[in-house]
This record gives sequence, structure tokens and C-alpha cells, in this order.
Amino acid sequence: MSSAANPSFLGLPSEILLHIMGYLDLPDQQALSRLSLHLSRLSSDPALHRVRIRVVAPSRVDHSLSCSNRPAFDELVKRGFVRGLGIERRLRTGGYVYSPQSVYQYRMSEALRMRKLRSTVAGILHARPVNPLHTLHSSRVLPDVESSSPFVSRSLLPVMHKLKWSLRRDELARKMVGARSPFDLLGHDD
Amino acid sequence: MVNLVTSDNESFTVEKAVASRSVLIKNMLEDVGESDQPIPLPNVTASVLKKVLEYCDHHKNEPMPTSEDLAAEDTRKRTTDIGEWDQKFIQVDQEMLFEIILAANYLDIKPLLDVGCKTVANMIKGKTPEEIRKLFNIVNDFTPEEEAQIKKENEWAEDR
Repeated sequence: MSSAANPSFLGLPSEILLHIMGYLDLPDQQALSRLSLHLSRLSSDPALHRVRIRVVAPSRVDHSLSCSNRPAFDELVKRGFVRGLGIERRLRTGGYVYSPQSVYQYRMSEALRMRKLRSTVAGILHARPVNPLHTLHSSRVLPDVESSSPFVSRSLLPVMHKLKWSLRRDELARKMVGARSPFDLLGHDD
Repeated sequence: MVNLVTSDNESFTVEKAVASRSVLIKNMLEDVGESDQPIPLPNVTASVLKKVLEYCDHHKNEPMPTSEDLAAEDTRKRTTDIGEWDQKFIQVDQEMLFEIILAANYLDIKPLLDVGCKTVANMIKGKTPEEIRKLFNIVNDFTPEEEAQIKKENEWAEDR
């Protein structure tokens, strides 16, 4: 143990550094490889990657599939991750829901649902009043063509006037306070 | 009871069950047989050995990992989960952490080595190279050409 006097990360023997890297995923291993020549050589160690690909990755998948907090099938159905035509009822009655047939049925039912939705929307669009803008004008939501401003509806005009007037007043007041003499004010105001 | 002497000449007297957590000491005891001779540990200081013995004492009643367990450990998922007691135990400064890892490696205490390495791995996880460099005080020894080369080689892994 040559570095016993003051151990550091790089002072650890290569086999221990490899052991540590064995616990890390690729992004972290890659981050380490950027730090020094020694670490970059270690991070391309074939044994390290062999273990990662042949052992770590498959067993991770295994673990995810068999771990205790993996939700049960009916839980997945309840949360809507697994879908199917009448799947909850079928599960309750103990029906078989894993067949390609049930996937096909579900797709068909979805297509039918979309079609029904489309025809409903088309029906509603068709039945709406001839000129929808007219109702908006008459309820004074949209500005009139003959009103003074094309951007503000008629019902809001008095408020707008008031607001503009107050803004103008505030501006003047600020100038009055800021001006050193009345002549200054006149000089600025024109 | 077993008598252990550290590099700084402090001696520790511990139960055989505790000392035998170290495969190195266990083999030594088997080779030597019953004797009162102190076992010299020239690579371990007193402060580190004290910590290591604390670990061994807490785990003395657990079965020793067999070679089968060690083989199975590789096929098991490699998590960086650490037991509650171990986690508290390993909350030491960086220097001590590395000392413990080195001592566990030398004394051949696989579970302690694992705890130490997992702790270091957890410190590294999710950090950028710059953060790791700062954390472990690693000096950049690349020439600019080498750095460009490394960057190029790693491009494929860049996309997280």
C-alpha cells in the first residue's frame, strides 16, 4: 500500500477502481473516463463491459420483472396501462384477455369510438348558426366595424378612455416633480 | 482471543469470531493453529483497524460468504443499496473511506469492501466530470490531443 500515507481516489488499486466502476452505469463510467488517463484506460476494460452486458443488464431486467412492488395485472388494468374491450369485466369473470384476438378487438373498438366521435363533432358543427360572428357582435364581445377602435369592444371604450386619461395625468405629474423650474417643464413638454 | 498489532504498534485483542471476518486473519489462524503470538498487520493503522473491527464485531454472527455466494453475487443485480447500519458506519470523511476500502481489500473482508465501493459509487453517480474532479481532487493529466481523442471515443455514449 504505497499510498497509505494519504489515500486518494486515484491512489486506490486498479482492481478496486474497477470494482467501483462495476456499480456504475455507462454515463457515470463515461464521466470517470474523462478525468484522467488512468481512469480512461480502466473504463474501457473489456471484463468490466462484459459483466455489464452479460450479467448486470439481464439480471436488472429479471429483477424488475420479479420484484415485489411490481403491480399485479388487475392493478395495471385499473390504472389504464393495460387496455382492452371490456377488460375489467372479463378479468372479473375470469376470462382470457391475453390473446391476439382481444388486442384486435380493442383496436377495432377504438377505431369505432373515434369514428363515432368524428360524426358527432361534424353534426354539431353543421348545426351551428349561419354566422357565429354575428352573435358575438350583438353581445358586444367583438368590436364593431363602426366603433372608433377596431381593437376594443364598444362596451369597454369608456374604461379605456379613463385609463388613457389617468396614464397621461400620471406622466404629466412625474414631469412636474422631476422638473427643476417651470421653464424646464416647458422645454421638455413640447 | 486474538492479538492484532497495527503498523503504528498498537495492539488490539479481539474475539476469534470477530477477527475471522477477515479471510486473511482467518487463514493465518488456521495455518498457525492455537498460539498467543500477536498477528502483525503492517498495512493497517490503529484508527482504521478500530473502525474495521467495529464492522466485524457488528457482523460477527452472520454466516461467512462462501465462494458460491460470491459467484451468485455477480449474477445477482448489482445494486448500490447499503444496509442501514452499514450506511451509518460508512459515514466518514473521504480519506477514512479510502483507508477502510484499502484495509478491507488487504484483510480480505469482501462485504466491507463492497460497502466501501458502493459508497464511492454512490458519490460518483449522476455527477458531471467536473463535479467528480472537484469531489476527489483529481488532476487533469491529459494532453489536449488526448482529451480530444477521449471525447471523440466517447461520443457514442454522450446521448443520455
